[in-house]
Amino acid sequence: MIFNSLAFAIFLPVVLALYYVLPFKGQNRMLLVASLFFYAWWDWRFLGLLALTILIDFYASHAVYRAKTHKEKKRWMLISIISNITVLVIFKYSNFFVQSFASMLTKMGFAVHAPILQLVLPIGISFYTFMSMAYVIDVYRGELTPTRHLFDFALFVCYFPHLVAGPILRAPQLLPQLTHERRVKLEQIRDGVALIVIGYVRKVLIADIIAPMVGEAFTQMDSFGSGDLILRMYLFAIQLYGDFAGYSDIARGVSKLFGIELNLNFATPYLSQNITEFWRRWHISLSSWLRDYVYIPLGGNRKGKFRTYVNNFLTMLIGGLWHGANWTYVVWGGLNGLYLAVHKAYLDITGKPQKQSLEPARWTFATPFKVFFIFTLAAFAFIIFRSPNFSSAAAYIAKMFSFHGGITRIGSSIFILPFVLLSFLIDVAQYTRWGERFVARIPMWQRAIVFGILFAFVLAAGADNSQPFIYFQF
Amino acid sequence: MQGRSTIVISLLLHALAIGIVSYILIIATVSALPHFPLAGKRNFKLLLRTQMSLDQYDEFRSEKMGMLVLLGSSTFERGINENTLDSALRANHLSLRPSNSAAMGMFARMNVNMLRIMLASGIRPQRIVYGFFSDELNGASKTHDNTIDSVSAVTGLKSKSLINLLQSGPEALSTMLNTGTFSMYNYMLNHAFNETDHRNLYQQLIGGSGAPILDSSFQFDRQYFQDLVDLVNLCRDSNIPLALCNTPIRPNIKSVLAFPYAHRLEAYRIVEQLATSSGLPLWNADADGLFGDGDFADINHVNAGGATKFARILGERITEWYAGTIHQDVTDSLPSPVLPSPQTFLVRRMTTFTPYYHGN
Repeated sequence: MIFNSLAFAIFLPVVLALYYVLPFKGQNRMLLVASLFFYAWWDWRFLGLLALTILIDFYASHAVYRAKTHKEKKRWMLISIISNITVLVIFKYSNFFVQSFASMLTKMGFAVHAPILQLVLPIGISFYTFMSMAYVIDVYRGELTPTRHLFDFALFVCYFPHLVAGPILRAPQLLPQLTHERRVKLEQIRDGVALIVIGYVRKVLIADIIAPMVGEAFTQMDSFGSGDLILRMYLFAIQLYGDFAGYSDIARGVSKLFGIELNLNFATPYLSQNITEFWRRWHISLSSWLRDYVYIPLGGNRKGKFRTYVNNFLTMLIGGLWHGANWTYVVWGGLNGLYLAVHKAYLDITGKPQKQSLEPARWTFATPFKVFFIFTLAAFAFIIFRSPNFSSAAAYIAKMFSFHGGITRIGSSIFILPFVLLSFLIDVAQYTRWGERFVARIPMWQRAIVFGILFAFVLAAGADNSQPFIYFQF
Repeated sequence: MQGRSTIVISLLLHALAIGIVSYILIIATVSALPHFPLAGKRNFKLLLRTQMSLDQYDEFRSEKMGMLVLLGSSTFERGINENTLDSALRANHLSLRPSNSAAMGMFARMNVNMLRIMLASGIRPQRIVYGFFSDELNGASKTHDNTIDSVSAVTGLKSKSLINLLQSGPEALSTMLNTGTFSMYNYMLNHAFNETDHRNLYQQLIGGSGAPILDSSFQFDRQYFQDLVDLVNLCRDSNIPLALCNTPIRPNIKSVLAFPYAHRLEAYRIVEQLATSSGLPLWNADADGLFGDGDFADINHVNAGGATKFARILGERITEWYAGTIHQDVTDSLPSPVLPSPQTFLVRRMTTFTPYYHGN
């Protein structure tokens, strides 16, 4: 089931109605059943795989917790990691690895026929596997006491707002909210509804309207001028942001209606002033997951400068592979790793400190140029992310830099401007202190009108153009 | 929980407020936009034209005037200035007002569909003139690619009742969030800018320019001709007199300098046979000497001056037609002309086309 579907428009009110009449324990059981139903709506056969992941990690977490020796703890943790990675490899990466290996052998002169497994990629597998695996690692590190109730752990993994496209939540943040009686506050209803509307605006009104323009640029690039392709490179960056941040906003908004707070997943990434800041603001839950469970175990910045650069690069390479079984994702991750390593080296050479918080820095004359530069770097890397293969990405980039043809689709380029502007305004209103203060001062009835108008556009835009969420495929 | 009933009421109020505001806005916008049809993107152009004709029909009826419907593609849409034609008809004391219902990319098939919807919606035109374009019978012409509406999609026009507005309002409004249909709406409501002397960039962009006509790519397509036959048959079955008018092409096509389009004669003769065998008026606005290069905005669309000139020519022909004269511009290729019914007076005038090797 996807958030921008009629099925969800019926599902959510039914679940909310049941939630508000049931006692606490009943609420959790109902949420678990609803979450499984939400997942089964796509393909019920994969419920078994989900259940397997939950059972293995629930058992492994208790085994780790009860183990007397460090060696035994480590063994159980490794069992959990191996089982999760195995599930991922089989369902997501098997064909990719087999084909890559066969292609390598063919290039070396061996005639190889690679077998192809006809497997459907289970929706959301990368998200729930990472959550479940991190739970066991947290228990192993002594940062978490495992829950005694299987149903609570199952709800932690399956909770439908985050199940198929994140955010990738941590047990210390979500689990206590599930195991303790919740009190829904009026502010949560107000903010939840606002987030849902904003999420749909980002997804349906911005991302889905831009999507066909970007799609035609990647499939019919020969008929486009280089100016068109440059413009569409930026548009894809805005589309991807609208699509994924929209999903995250809807997930957070829906969750607030149940009195459960989910992590912020995006915080004005395109207003970042350097690439490290960009990755602190983009897909925050994945970036922090990679930092805690890949970068730091690799040694982080504790093993010298050069090793820090390598660790940055390797972490992003793995982050790229997490997105999908295609070398384009790996190279996209690698390119971002390179960006990060170069930025880190620049900071080391100049001795400038790296800002750690997400508080926006004071804007100066140079800030717009820095922001545009970082936005361009990110958008450029997204060409590889968007392309089905390297030759397509190379052709796009070559055509873009041929500087031939200029902008030929002026009409559609002008038409799309208000939507780009809307994306920017939402970010300012949602994430800047000035925006927050401004929104807080608006009386409730005026907010209802503003959100009503925005939702009218969402209904109109969604009536004839429904696109799936991009991150569902991961 | 902060009083469950308080929370539930708060949630319901939020949803209700947003829902009510959204639907009020959708209903108000769809109702307020002039001639706006309750249509999705697929049929938008077709139904917008139909809605515009229906609205004009109601206006004409209140003035006790008959309706002259102009059908065809953009060569007619941009080619005929409605105001000039209206003045010409008034000057000749005809109780007839023109409705230019031609639309870009729409050839005979789409016009047959539109006419069916018009008739089903209660429109009864007194007369119809179909403006055909030499290249529309060409199966290899890229002009047909402009036909975004599905040929098979014949959808009726929905009334703007509250139920229909609630059901179809969001989908209808989605057309305003699409570059193509948004531009089309602007274009059609502004009469294809056929009264604008100097179009600005935006007006030029949404109108586009005529696809190049290539002598090397003419392939007569029988299906496109059959569409024209269907239109003739539909008008005959509905007792609506129909005239055919050939729309002009720039005498000297810029890309090939002084070489005119050779297939114009070939295409014209095919339509000529249909007109003569059916006893239909046939007017050739592409005859030599009528339009000069200065009357054109591109290869096959006239400019504002050309649209005024074209409307005057058409006004004269319609006046003759109203007076009972069947005027057929014929070539010298017809072996045996077919006579129309006895009560009408047949005028046949030879029409000529410049030979292909101009000046040789």
